[in-house]
Amino acid sequence: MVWFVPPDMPLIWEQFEDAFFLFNPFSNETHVLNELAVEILQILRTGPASLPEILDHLGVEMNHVTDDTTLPYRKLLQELDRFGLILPVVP
Amino acid sequence: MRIADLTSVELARRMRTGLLWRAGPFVVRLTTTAPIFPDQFLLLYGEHPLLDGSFGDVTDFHIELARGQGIRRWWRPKIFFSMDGPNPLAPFPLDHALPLFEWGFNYAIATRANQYLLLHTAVVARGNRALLLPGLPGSGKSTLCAALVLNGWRLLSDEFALVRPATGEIVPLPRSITLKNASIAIIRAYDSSAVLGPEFPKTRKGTVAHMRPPVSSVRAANDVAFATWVVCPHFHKEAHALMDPIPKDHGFLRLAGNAFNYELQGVRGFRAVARMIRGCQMYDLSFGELTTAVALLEELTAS
Repeated sequence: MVWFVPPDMPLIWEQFEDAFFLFNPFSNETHVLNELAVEILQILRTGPASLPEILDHLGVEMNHVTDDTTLPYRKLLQELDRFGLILPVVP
Repeated sequence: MRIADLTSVELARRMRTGLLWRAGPFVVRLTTTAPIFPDQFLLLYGEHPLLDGSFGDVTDFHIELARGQGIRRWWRPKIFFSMDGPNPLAPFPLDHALPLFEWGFNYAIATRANQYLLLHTAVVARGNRALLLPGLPGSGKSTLCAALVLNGWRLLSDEFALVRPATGEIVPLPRSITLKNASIAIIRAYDSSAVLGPEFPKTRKGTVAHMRPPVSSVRAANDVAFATWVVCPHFHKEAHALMDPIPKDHGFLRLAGNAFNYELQGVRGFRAVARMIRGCQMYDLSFGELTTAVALLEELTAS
């Protein structure tokens, strides 16, 4: 599956301490994100990417990738999708 | 012209057809035939500006305190709050018109004044530097607010910070401070010059009494201030006074969660809260005794 950030959605950020606060103007909701979520959003902001491509951008060693090691990333992508911050590319 | 420039009889007469006056930024038309209420209102709101409508002021709130009809006019008589039609506030006994007005006015502001980011907090200021005291009922917010005002702080509000989202300015809304239960005697003991209205027993929040706002605060109702300190009070009878810094990430969530209309404000609210967090020091204050807590706040804000 390939993901992307809707191109018309502005990412409105504020950082306080280690937390990133992201305002979603489409839902009027504020989300508190960690650094990994922010990095993934920034990767997807530059263009659509699949999970292996995202992991490559993040510098995750691809030789050792298993279903277990990708599980947190897959869950995070699902969460970002659920919040409407990213969308899957429909084939 | 001030409300206190009217005689008691003239005030009651005007209230029967609608008294037009100003509370902070709001123009209010208040209509009632409730007995006793005009004199109680005069004690607390005498310094507020009286309007005659000649400048075409747009009325923000049309408030009516209406006496019960039918059997409720004579048997256990009731008073009803209304604002532009039906509303969810239950009626009060007729002789509790003043607390009904205070709570009803708060309800009106909390549900209508969405040109502001509305924080549920007491606000006092020195010059244009504001100290916000957000807290749940029973936290000691109003007691601390009253004590600070009696110490010479300017009252902006006991209940709301009216924040202009674009600038962060807090617009004053100097009204009476509602004290409940033990706080009434505590404030009387703290400063015998405090002017309090009558006590109203057996309300839903226990016994309440209202402290008159200082004349200087009412006259400075156009002087905005900026959030400089946010202190969240937590009253516990046995607690020693202790101030703990709140990290800014927690502070953001606390302040946004404290607003009546954060999500309604959209990105304006998000940016307004972020600006306040960047510009403020935030603390939790546990206390069990008023004088020590006030001393801690004075020390904090003097630095």
